[in-house]
This record gives sequence, C-alpha cells and structure tokens, in this order.
Amino acid sequence: MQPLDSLFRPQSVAVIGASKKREKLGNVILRNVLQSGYGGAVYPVNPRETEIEGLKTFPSVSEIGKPVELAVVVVPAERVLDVARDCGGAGVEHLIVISAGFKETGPEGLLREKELAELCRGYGMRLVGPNCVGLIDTHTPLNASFAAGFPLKGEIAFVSQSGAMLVAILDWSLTIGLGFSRCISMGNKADLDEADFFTAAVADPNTKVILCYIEDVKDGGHFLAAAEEATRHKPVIILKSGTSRAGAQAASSHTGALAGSDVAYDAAFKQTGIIRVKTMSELFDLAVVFARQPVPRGPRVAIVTNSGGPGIVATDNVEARGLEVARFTRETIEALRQELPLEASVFNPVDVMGDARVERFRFALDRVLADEGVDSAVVLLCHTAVAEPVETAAAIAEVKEKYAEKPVLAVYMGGESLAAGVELLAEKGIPCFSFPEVAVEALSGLVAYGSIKERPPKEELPAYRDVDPGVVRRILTRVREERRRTLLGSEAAQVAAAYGIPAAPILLARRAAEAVTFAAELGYPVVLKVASPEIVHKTDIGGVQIGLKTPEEIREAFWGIMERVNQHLPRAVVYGIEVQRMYPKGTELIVGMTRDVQFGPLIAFGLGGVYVDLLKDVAFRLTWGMGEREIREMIHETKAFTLIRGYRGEKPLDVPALANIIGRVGRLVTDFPEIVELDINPVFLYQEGAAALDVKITIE
Amino acid sequence: MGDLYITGTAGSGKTAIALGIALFLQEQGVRVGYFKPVGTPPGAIRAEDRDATLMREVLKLGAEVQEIAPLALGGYYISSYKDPQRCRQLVREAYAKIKATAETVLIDGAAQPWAMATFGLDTLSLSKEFGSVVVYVVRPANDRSLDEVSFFTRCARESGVQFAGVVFNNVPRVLLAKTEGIYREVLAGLGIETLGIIPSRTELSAPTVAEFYEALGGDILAGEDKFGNIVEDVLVGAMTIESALAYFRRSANKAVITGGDRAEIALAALETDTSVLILTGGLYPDVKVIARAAEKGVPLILVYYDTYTAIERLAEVSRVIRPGDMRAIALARESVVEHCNLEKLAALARA
Repeated sequence: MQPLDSLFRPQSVAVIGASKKREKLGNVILRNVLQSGYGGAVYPVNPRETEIEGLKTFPSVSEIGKPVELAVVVVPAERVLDVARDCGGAGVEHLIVISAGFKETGPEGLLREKELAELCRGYGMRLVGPNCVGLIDTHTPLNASFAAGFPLKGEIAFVSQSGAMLVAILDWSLTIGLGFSRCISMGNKADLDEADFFTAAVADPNTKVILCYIEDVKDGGHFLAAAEEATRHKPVIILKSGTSRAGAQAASSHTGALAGSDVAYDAAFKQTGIIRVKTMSELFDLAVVFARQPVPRGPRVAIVTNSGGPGIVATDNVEARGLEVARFTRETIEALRQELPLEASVFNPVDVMGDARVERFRFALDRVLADEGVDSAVVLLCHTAVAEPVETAAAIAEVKEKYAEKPVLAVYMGGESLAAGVELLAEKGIPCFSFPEVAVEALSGLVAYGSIKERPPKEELPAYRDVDPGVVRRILTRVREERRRTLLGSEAAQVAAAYGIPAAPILLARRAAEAVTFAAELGYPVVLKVASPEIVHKTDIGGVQIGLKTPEEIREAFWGIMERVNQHLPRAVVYGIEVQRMYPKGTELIVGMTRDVQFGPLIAFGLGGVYVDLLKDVAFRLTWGMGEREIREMIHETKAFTLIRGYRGEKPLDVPALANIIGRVGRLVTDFPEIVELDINPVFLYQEGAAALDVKITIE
Repeated sequence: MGDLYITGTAGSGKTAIALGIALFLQEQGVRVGYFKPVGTPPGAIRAEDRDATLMREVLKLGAEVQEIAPLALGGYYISSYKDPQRCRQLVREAYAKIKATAETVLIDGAAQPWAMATFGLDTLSLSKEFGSVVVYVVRPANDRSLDEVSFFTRCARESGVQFAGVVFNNVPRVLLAKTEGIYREVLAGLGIETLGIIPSRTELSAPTVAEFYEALGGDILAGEDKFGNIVEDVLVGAMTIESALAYFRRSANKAVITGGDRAEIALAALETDTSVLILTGGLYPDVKVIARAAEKGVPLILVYYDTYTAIERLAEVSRVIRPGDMRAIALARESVVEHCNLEKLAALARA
C-alpha cells in the first residue's frame, strides 16, 4: 500500500463539528467533501443535530458504528483532545485538525498540541495540522478543506506550510487553467510534515512534480532522507521564505522555532537535489514547465525568433543561467540557409525575420529540434504585422509532438493581439511566457533536474582509521569539568591533531620561564598568544606577539601581553600564554563548522586572510552525505580554488591535503556531537601539505 | 571568649565564610552569635537585611533581625540617621544583647571596611571597641588584590586592632596555584598569615535568577520555578541572527538581555544554555517565545526600561544565600571546613 493512502483516498470521511449554518467552516468543509464528487461514505458529526446537508448526523465518531478512515476535525481547540480520543477509540486512521488554538497561541496551546500529537501516536493515528486548511486530492476526488472552489485535475502536488497561500494559489490556478494532483496545508505540523508528504507524493501515480512552500523544516534528518529519495524520482521545487534578516525574524515569530541558517537550508536543498526558487512566480513557472514538458538530456538550447532584440536577450540569459547556446551541425545550417531568406540568421539564435509567417517558424523549429546537438528549444514570437500567433501556436505544438524527449517553450511578447495564441499554447501543453528571461529561467530548472535525477548515489562521510577519539574525549571532559564552553588554543590543537588534522602544536605556559622552555622545544621564532576562553579577538587587545627570536624577547612579550590584557579586560580569566612556532606563510584558507539547529554540522570552506569578510568566498556543505566527491565540489565552487590550482604560473597547491582537513573536520564533529562550533582560521596550504594554525572549538 | 570580625569588600563572600565558621563552631558545641552592625539597606523587593535573616534562621538565633543588623548603610545615611552618637549607642546596645547570650560572636562587616567611618562605625573603630579579632576576606583578581590586604593590615596594626590574617575566597581556578605559591609567600614576608584559600565554587558564588529579579523587577512571563538557576555570565543580544547562535554557544548559564521584539535572538538564546532571558523595552514578546521558554524551563522576565539600564542595574548583583537553600549552606560550610585553618580560627574565637 502507498504511504498515507487512506489519507488521500479514504473509504469514508467523518466531518466532526459539521454545522447547519452555511457560513461556518464545519458546513463549508462538509459541502466541499460532498461537492468534490467524493465517492466514499460521508458522516457529519455533531451531537446537537440529526441531519446536516441531507445526511444523517451522528453525536460522535464512536457512535457511527462503521469504520471511519479519515476524520476532519473542526471543533473549538478545547474539545479537540476529547474528539481525538473518541476517534482513536473508534479506529480512525487519519485525522485532519483544522481548528486553531494550539502552538501558535502560546504555552497553553503548545501543551495542548503536544498532548494531541502524543494521543494520536498512542492510537496509531496520523495527524495533519492542527491549524490548517485541510487537504485536497483531485484524482480521488476529495476536498477535505475549507478552500473555496475545487482545483482542476493535474499532475502537480502542492505542499504548503501557509494555508492562506494555498487558498490563494488554488483560486488563481483556476483562472489560468493550472491543475493539481494534491494540495496539502500542513498547519503546525504536529505530526505529518513536508518529508512525509514528499514520500507520499513520490508514490502517487498522479503526481509528476512536487511543489512546496515552507517557513521551516520540522525535522532536519527526516527531511534530508525523504528529500534525497524523492528527488531521484520526481522533481521537488521549494520556496523557502525567511531568507532576509527581517524575513527570518518574521518566520521565527510565525513558526515559534529558531530558523536554521539560510545557508544551511541552501546546502540541504542542494545536497538532496531540491530545486530552490526565490519567488512565488518562479515556483509556478517551474511547476508548469515540469508538468508539461520532458526533462531534456542536456543543457544545449536552440532559440528561434522573429525579432533580433528579444533573441539576444534570450541568448544572454541562456548563458547567464549556465545553459549552453547550441551549436548546429553543418547540415542544419545548410538546410536553414536554403529555406530561410538571405538576411535571416541561420546560426543560433535563428532569426526567421519580422516578416515570418507560420511556415518559417514551423520549418526552423523542426530543423533545429532534429539536430543532434540540440536538447531543447525556445520559440520567441513578437507581435508583427504579419505574425500568425494562433497558427504558429498550433505549428509549435505539432512539431513538438515529433520530439518527445526535447522540451519546447514559447515566448509570446505582446498583449491582447496574442491572447488567442497564448490560450492555444496553454491548451496544447506548451508553456508560454511573456518575456524571454522567465522562459529561460524555467528551462534552466528543467535542465538542472536532468542532472539531479541522474546524480550518483549519496556518499557517506569518509572514515579515517588513524583518529584517536580517546584523546578528544579526555580533553572535552576536562573542559566540561572546568565549566568552560570554549577550548583553549592548546587543547583545540590537540583535539585537531588527534583527528589527523595537521594542527600546529601549541603549548600553554603559565610563567615566562615556562614559555622560554617551550620555545626551545618547538623551535624559534615563536608567537605568543593570550590564553583565555573569554577573549575571542586576541589581536585587538594586544594579546598576540609574533616573530619572537630570543628568550629575552619572550620574557618581555609574556608580561607585556599579560599587562595589556589586564588593562583592556581586567575581569577576564587568563589561563596563561600560548606558545606556537611561526610557520612559513602559505595560502590563507578557512575551514569551519557550525552545528545547525535543523540539519546538524554545516561545514564552511573558503578564502581566509584579511579580506575574508569582503570577498565572502565561502562554500557550504552539510556533513550529511559529505563524501570525497562533495568535498571536491565544495573546493571547486570557490574562487579560492583558482588560487589553489595555480594562479598565473604559480605551482598548484596540495588539494588532497586540503580535502583531507575538510573531511577530518567532518568526521571529528560527527563523532563528537557536543562540538557546536569549530573554526580553523587560518589554514596555510602549501605546495606540499598544510598547517592548521589557529583552531577554535566551542562545545555544548 | 573573643569575637571574630569578618571584613572585606562587597562580593568577597564574607557572609558565606561567617556562616561556614558559625556552623562549624555550633557543631563543636559553641554557642555562636551573629552580629552585623552596619547592614544593607532594604531594596525594592526585600525589606530586611538578607544576611541577618539568613543567619537568624540557619543558626536558629533568638535575636530579632533588627537587633542583628541595627543600622543600614544607605546612600543618604548621614542625613537620615543624623545623630552619630545615637547610632553608636544603638550598635553598642545591640551588640551587648547578642554577646550576653553567646559564647562567641561572629561580626560581619559592612559592604566596605570603611563604611560609616564618618560616624565612627567602620571596621577598625568597632573591632577596637569590641576587642574582636579581624579576619580579612579577599577575592583575588590579580596582583593588585594583595595591595588591598597589605594596606588594610597596616591600618589595622597602626590602629592597635588585633589582626588574625587573610582568607582568599572564591579563588578562580587559574589563580589557585599562584595564590598558594606566590601570594601566600609575599604576604608571609609582610607578616600576614593566610588563614585559608577557598577555590571558587560557581554553585556558591554565582548569583541566581532570583537575585537578578530582585535587581530588575518586571513581569515574570515564564519559568518562575527556575529562579534558582545560577547566572555566570550576562550577554546582550543585539547582533544579527547569523552571529547570535555562535555567540550564545560560547557561554554557559547565562543571562541574555535583548529587546522584546527580537524574537529570533530570544529563540537563539533559548536554543543554547541560558539561565534567564530578560526582555527589555516593555515590548511584550511573541507568544511563541513565551511558549518556547516555558517548554525549555527558562525564566523569562519582561522589564519596562531599556537594555542599558538593565545592565546598569545588574552591575551590583551578587550571590545571596537564602535560608532555604540547603545546598548552598552545606557548600559554604564545606568550603570553610576544607580550605581554612579552622583550628586557628576556632582558637581565636575561644581566646
């Protein structure tokens, strides 16, 4: 059986809190169920009524006396728990709680919601909501929501955290003829969440593409696993809001959960093959393209246009979006040249000229699609005096039929005069846009999915045999015993070294004489740094002195640092002074980790040094699935890689040594979940080897 | 029997040491009295001297709180008490009454050794009058802390006051070795005996949310049952959301102060080890923040002034041992028993 089958295709539905009053939700939902053409049994439940909308009404679910697979609950929040208990006792399989008055209202509501989820778990009932609009399946058909109107049958599943957005989109979809397979309003996600609905949509034969609007993810691990699996079968397109600072604040207030960082979401989406869009229009542009056109084999796009300007705009966008402007074979070029007017451009973009009627469009499109070097086509039509928008629409659809595996998108630039053509395109399943860049953007999503679907299997974080967890455990235990949250530089270097990260050794001196002894051990010249868990920016307060070459210099620097630190931060607890040998300068890089509240360890890699904040040249990956390939890709993504592989005649640097550091950091923070922040800044990368100069670790 | 006069500056832990010594002496069968000639003025929430209240209950003393702490050191004490003569009389009478029923009295110093010197009621004047032996308590921070001890000792000796020695209290872990090895020696060279070196115990030295609330006032929106949480650090949440989490993670058992409208900062703080969340500006937070705080068991206090004022008010907050806090009381006793030269102290009290 398919997951959540009886939620979307129940044999029977009870509407609890059904009402006679037509303006009440309890009545709207009942009528929606009935009017959707639902074929199963429908039971209104209301202890004060005997008949609603012509149906026999029951005082409670347990008194229906027949099995109920799905119960839609629309009673006041205080009564929901009793109702749920009654449903559980009566063997109901799925509950949709429409009622508000839960987590979104404060501590009392939160408690109620937890109790509700607990109760459902106890009875083995799955729960949608609470505080939601409900759900719709157009193929069952079933409208178990209070959305006005019933959407057209289609192949798009829409999963939304916002009920209002769902309702608005459904209404809008009717005006443009967009159809849906399923629509789900998740509400507070007390039980079922986006991950569950992805899995269900993958199993649903009527769904071709999965759209999702979310403000947060409920369970990072569950989400990653479900998304990774889903995108191998069907495209998943997500609009995740709260990317700006103010937006994140609004989202936090809205969901009551700390939003994971947006870069973590980005990494999660990227690593699981989710296509992320930033706007609502993009979400639906992509949905239309995915629902109606095939996924192309590659990125090579042919453009056929009747006007030069828009053709160039489209070409620019093809390149900007990472697609390729197809290069035609000699045969294609010859054929086009023979058939088209002399002044027409027969290279890509193909300009059939402003005086083109339908036949030139038909010929050119057919010819370029036949070319082996073309994976998809965009047809641009500008409204000219002789243009034949309707006939051209028919011709595009006709030609498209011949090339099942190659998507074709149309751009009709103009207004009222093109409306009939646009309508015909929609009818024939050719996505049509008003401007070239929007079409190319949508096409790029389609192309991207081609490689997402075919991507190699998920990797695992590399395992290293030479790591020594015992050392790390001992150090972390001591830090905890001393009630510290941050490791001293000497401790962090030891932890890193225990995991095979080439950390430059640091020794902690409590007296100047000790520092001199250590310097002799490590070798001159040395650097001295103040050791205090409270001091993060040591240089700013004169807590670092470099290039010390003699015992005298060390002694002077030792007390100099102590006095300066005491001046600036008289209350800081100073553990002593760290002694480290000076390393030859290498290319300065950063490797870091922050434990994201949703998705776990998030690794950052980028260019270090003084311009790090200016250049923002950083790539991110979750350690989830971060194997050798992901690490390599992560390095390649950055501008730093240009330097690393040998910039302007320089010899290339030791990339395997760098990948090794990244992988080992991933392993370390996975083996020790108490490490919540880790920063190596800088990592010096050399032609041979690397050195981690300053390691910072925060534990929980 | 002689009396011990425990003196030192505010926050050095005089009362905890007096409590520890008193409990020890009581166990030895000594009838112990407690006297605090110059108490602390009543705050907005509490009415009586907290130390006097604590000692009265824990040591089961017969005297009234008003007798144990007859005077309060307000910022306007000269204007309000007016008559130094009468004040001295009041102290003398109260002391006599306590002394009458006790074999030895532990006299607890005011916020500073020089407090009420204008009225002749400072540590030196009173210990001379009562014939008590002075013990100086210091919380060492750095080398300058020794100056405090050396200077006071010299004054005491020159005034003809009996000076027993110094107790280093609440010594940070990183200063323990230095105190044992260097400070003790340097003082010995000056003829000053070190009577104890008590390592810092956060459970005893860090203030709790209750003390914070006393200083701040405001509305309690969640977590009233968690007012015993200790607070080791105060952080202000005024950063961007991206940096908030890393910043909050670096600090344990902290108070976070932020604007009531900064839901994402509040939620980030609640995601980390936070003892109390203080929302400023009288901006009632989003209900979800309250729900999350309740869920996490973190006290949530809403105050009606700005963040700067909140920090100002917290500047002077220090740990108060409350009568019902059996754990802190036991710790105070343990600290003194384990780390102080009690034979010497007891002998002084019995002398």
